[in-house]
Amino acid sequence: MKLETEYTRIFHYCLSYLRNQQDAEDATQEAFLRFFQHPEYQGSYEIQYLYKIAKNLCVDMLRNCKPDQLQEEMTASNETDILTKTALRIALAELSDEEHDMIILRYVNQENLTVIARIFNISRFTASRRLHAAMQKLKSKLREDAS
Amino acid sequence: MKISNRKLKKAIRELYTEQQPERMLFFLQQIQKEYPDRKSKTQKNIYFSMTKFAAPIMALLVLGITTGYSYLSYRNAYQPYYQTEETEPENIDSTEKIISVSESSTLESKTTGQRKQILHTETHTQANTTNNIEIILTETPENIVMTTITEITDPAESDEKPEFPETKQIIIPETQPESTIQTETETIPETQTPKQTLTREEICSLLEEEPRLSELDSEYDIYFDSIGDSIMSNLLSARSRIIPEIVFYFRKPLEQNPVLDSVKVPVSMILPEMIDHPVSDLENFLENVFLIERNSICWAEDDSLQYTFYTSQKSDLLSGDLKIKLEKAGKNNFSDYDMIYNFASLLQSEYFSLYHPEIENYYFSMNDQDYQKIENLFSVIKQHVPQDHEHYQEWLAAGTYSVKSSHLVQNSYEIAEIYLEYLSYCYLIDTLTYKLEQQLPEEAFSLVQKFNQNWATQEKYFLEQVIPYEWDETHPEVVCFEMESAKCRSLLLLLYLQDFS
Repeated sequence: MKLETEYTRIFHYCLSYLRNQQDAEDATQEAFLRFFQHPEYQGSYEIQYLYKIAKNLCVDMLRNCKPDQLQEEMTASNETDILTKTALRIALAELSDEEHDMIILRYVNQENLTVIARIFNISRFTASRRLHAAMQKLKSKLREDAS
Repeated sequence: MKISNRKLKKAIRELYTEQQPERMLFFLQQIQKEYPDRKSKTQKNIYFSMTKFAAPIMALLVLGITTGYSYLSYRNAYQPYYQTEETEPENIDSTEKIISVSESSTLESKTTGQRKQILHTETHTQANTTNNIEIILTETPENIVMTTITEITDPAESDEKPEFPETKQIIIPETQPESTIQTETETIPETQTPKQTLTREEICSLLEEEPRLSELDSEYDIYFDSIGDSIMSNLLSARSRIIPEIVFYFRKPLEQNPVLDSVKVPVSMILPEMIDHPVSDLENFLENVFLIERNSICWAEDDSLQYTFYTSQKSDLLSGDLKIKLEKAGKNNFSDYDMIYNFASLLQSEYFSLYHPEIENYYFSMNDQDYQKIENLFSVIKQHVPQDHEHYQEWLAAGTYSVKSSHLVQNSYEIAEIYLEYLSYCYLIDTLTYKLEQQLPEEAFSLVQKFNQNWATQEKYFLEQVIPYEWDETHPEVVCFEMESAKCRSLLLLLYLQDFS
């Protein structure tokens, strides 16, 4: 496993849940620490384990902090970008956990369908189909927001 | 408001990737270094656990199963005797326990020197007494003799041993068990021997007899046969029609034929329903599925197969061809043919998953027994394909993986996927064959012709040998078996092409 590459991927994954760089970095560090402490996670499924640990950590952190403590950070340069990203984040948040994860894994982290299928314990074909359905749902939500 | 997939995916990607982690990885790298041997430690632990716990358990299991099986075989073989003995009320003792059962030893008489094969030995005890009953079943060249020895006092409870234990011998004529066994063996083949001469029409007619099966079959016909027909018709018409083509470039020209450094595959071969679509649709499709950005696409689909491919410029698209360069990435040893095949099958599966969601309703109602049959099929095929060929191993691994994963997720998408792969594989191979025929000298052409003859032979062989072996009238997955045997056929073609190249 290439630590730097996977670190960035897990960070982006955590960021999609926590929406805060500091918290995402904390979750990422903790995820890797827990991963290293458990040698049984080693093997061909280590990426899946990492994502699972990271998700559990993010869920725990979201439970423990109050909603007003979530400080969303925007890195966009202009107002249009900020509006677009805000709409996109809202739409992503309205998706189910599985749909959200699939889109983040595929298009942010660029994980291949085989990995996604393994994470969700489904076939690659099903993963592809569900991913497509998730994208359609996201589109429809964005259209609703725009109208 | 129209939202293009490309922009949406780009926006999603930029949503988070603009933010990069600032912390140094030094801390984690140090931790990682602290566990350099964790894999070997894990393996050692697993090995230690295996030797410490698993081996004795496995030994006990094997012993138990062997003894149990032998006992049951004995019971079944001599069931008449047991039944007559058990009907006598004085011999029935509900508290009787079997202490030990053993067999497969020899007994030699000291007086006559005659050797007897001990078929079976049982030692029984009765709760109300301290006596044991030992039943020894021996075989002589003439007869099978059952000796029952009773009143064997347990030595642990009494020091006095009877000098001559009461014995009773029952001689079972040799013909009795043989006739019993013969009767049993005669009944087995009639129910399990598969039919050897079923044709496709007969199979279909059998499938139509049950409503559930005919329903599945009709779905199959509507869905896959329509695809097959359209592909075949396109295959026939492709040579005379101007349609978009995907150009696959080989990494290096073939040694025997330097001209053949690329293969043009008509879009209709891979995506049959794209035949009437403009090239821009194909471009959009590729963008939607693979998030393609021109000329610098790094996309990895599979653990064992990675591509870096490049779409062509707009001018190339407008001219009617879509040029895609496939390059090997990673450590796999796939050939150009394999890369094209994998890419095409992926395109096809993505296409059907996007535009044919009704495949969800296509269900084979597979169960554990059915999957076991498919696995048995692999073992049969294994006996007939040269095992030292690298493609055989890859193919078998891929097929097994598909079956296993289907088993895991308990659905039939993988089966459908295998079928799609088979379709794309066959038609791509057909195209390659066609190109070989076109561009290669006469010698190569004769090789292809020779292959075609052998192909028919092999097809006949597999249809006769493989399918009947697994054929079961009560299950509809004969389609899967046909599919797999056809995959074997494709494999053989690949072997030929590999030898040639």
